[in-house]
Amino acid sequence: MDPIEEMKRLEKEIGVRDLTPEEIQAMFDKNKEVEELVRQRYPEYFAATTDQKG
Amino acid sequence: MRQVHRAPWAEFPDVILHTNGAKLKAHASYAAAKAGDPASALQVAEALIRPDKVNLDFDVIVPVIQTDAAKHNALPRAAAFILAIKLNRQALLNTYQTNEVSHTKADAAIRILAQPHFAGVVEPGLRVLLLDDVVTFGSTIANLRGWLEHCGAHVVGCTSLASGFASTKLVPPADLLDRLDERHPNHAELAHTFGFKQSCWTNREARFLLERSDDQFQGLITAARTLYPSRETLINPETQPRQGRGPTLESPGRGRPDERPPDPPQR
Repeated sequence: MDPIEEMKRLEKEIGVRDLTPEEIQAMFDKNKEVEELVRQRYPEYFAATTDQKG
Repeated sequence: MRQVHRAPWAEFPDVILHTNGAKLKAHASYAAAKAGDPASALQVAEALIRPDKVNLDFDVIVPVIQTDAAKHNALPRAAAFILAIKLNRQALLNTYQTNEVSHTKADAAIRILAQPHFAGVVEPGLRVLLLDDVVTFGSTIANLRGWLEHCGAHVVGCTSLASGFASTKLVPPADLLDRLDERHPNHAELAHTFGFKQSCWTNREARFLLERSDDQFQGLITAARTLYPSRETLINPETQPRQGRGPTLESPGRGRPDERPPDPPQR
């Protein structure tokens, strides 16, 4: 069997897979969601140190 | 070529815990936070983060950012921000796991084989504190640490809301590695197949490997070679021995103990 195909078969068997670009983008979208909420609750943290913590 | 990056443990400290697993899971917002709800994650983090427990000097906090069962666990992100605010540090959220491993329901053998991979950039020279919601086998932390050190940062420690049983000591003691050398002299081959040195196993990984039978251990090596094929295998698969439909976790194929393992990662 082709080594790449064999790798994919075993990955499926053990339940591991590479994320798609869309899924990686979704992770960054979640980062923004969390950061936005933190900005609302702790504006002084971001306001006081934007240059360092931006 | 895919590869797991790990760095020698040196004097890496024990994981700093903020609470225990029972208290974490008993929090009313825990399930929603794990499912990705930011407000719930902040509630859990605000309730449980104990900045006074973090006695390390560092510049930035890097949380584990990953998906599990297509869900975006918001807890590490929120906890990183809360701890950063309390300690007047920066939370960096631009390093992420590039594969989904589903560790939550994985058994130990799958945790060994299904190694998390990371990507993203960090400024060289930064002193980093890693943060996860729960540390169990330590593979995720070991690999995130390895990636960041590969990028030039210095990971000074790890903190976690809670941990699995006996999971705070990530560094395997020397006598454990000695016993592993004696029981499975080819454990270096398994580590090299992933791309790291045999001294880079986590404590829990090493203990798990120590308890494997010879056949189980060989099965892990064969499966690891399939998941992390050498450059030679990819270039010329016809030179590799035939293994039928390939190894399975139930009936692993045989490896080739005389094959030179790939070189460890260059740092």
